[in-house]
Amino acid sequence: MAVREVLVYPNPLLKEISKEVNDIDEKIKNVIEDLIDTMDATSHSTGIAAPQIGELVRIIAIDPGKNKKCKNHHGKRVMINPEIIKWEGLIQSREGCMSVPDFTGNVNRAEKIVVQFFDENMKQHVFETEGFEAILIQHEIDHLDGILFIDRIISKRTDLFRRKKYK
Amino acid sequence: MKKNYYALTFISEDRPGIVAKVSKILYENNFNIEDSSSTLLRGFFSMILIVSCSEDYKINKIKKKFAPLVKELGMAISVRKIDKLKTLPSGETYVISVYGADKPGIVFKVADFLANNEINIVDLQTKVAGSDEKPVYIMVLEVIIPEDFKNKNWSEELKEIAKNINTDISIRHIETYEL
Repeated sequence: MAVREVLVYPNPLLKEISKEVNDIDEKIKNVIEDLIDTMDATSHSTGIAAPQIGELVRIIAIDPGKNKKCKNHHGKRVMINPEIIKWEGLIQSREGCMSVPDFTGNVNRAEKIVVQFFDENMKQHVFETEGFEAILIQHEIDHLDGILFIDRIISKRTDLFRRKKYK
Repeated sequence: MKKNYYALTFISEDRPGIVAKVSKILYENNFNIEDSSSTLLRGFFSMILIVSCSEDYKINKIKKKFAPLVKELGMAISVRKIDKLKTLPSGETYVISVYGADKPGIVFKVADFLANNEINIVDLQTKVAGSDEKPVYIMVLEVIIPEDFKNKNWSEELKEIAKNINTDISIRHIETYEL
């Protein structure tokens, strides 16, 4: 049980691909506890992924209710081996990340997703979600694949281009 | 170590290699690029940079380093020293698009309203689109509305101004998510 240090880029662990969890042993239990403690300890943090505390296992924790404007969500939870099995629509928002301080960027995400995952007792769940919670889950799962929002930036600010001339 | 900051601009007829040539001189003289924005505007590549350096240069000394490049590319350059860096204004971010038939005064009318309301513009791009006969003016702004902003009605008032100059307008609040 501990609040861990949140790793900041360019820490190389943030660019690694995390390993699947096969069973909940003592080590995994500790990672889960530390993830939640660390998320709870950071007032603005609505989500965290295991690599952000230096553990390369496929676990994320989310607490979408911490965002006051997020009304529809599935509550605070831990997601083990999360996988998005369906994407729909496109939504743009500006994302910031504890591991990339003082910087935000415009990112496109699926507006609606179906996510499959295991809970702390390795019981499988599937649910559909949209809007903020969907963005949050996509952002955290990206961490498990060594992807930061910087990898998905469209443009720092507005986008307006002259069309190419078609012959 | 004390850092000295400078604002540099370069405008040059477009060709491959401008960024490489400019950044080579910066690199070889130990300048750090702190913030920059560069884009192609109607055939002219325009670079705006805030750079830092441990050495306290006179403006002319910096200009001299770029003199051969200015000559080679026919480039326009400006250099100024920055005494103090300001922090970004804090508040809510909005993106505003204003567009309509091209006519003088679109930028002025919108900017004048924002100025009178003390709203900061943090980014502004304009383009002329459409055909030569029927040009369309497009302006996209990013503004910051301070948290304690008094004029709660600003977006309605701005819409009214846009209507008066026969343009369409959309104002979108940009959510920033800390994830």
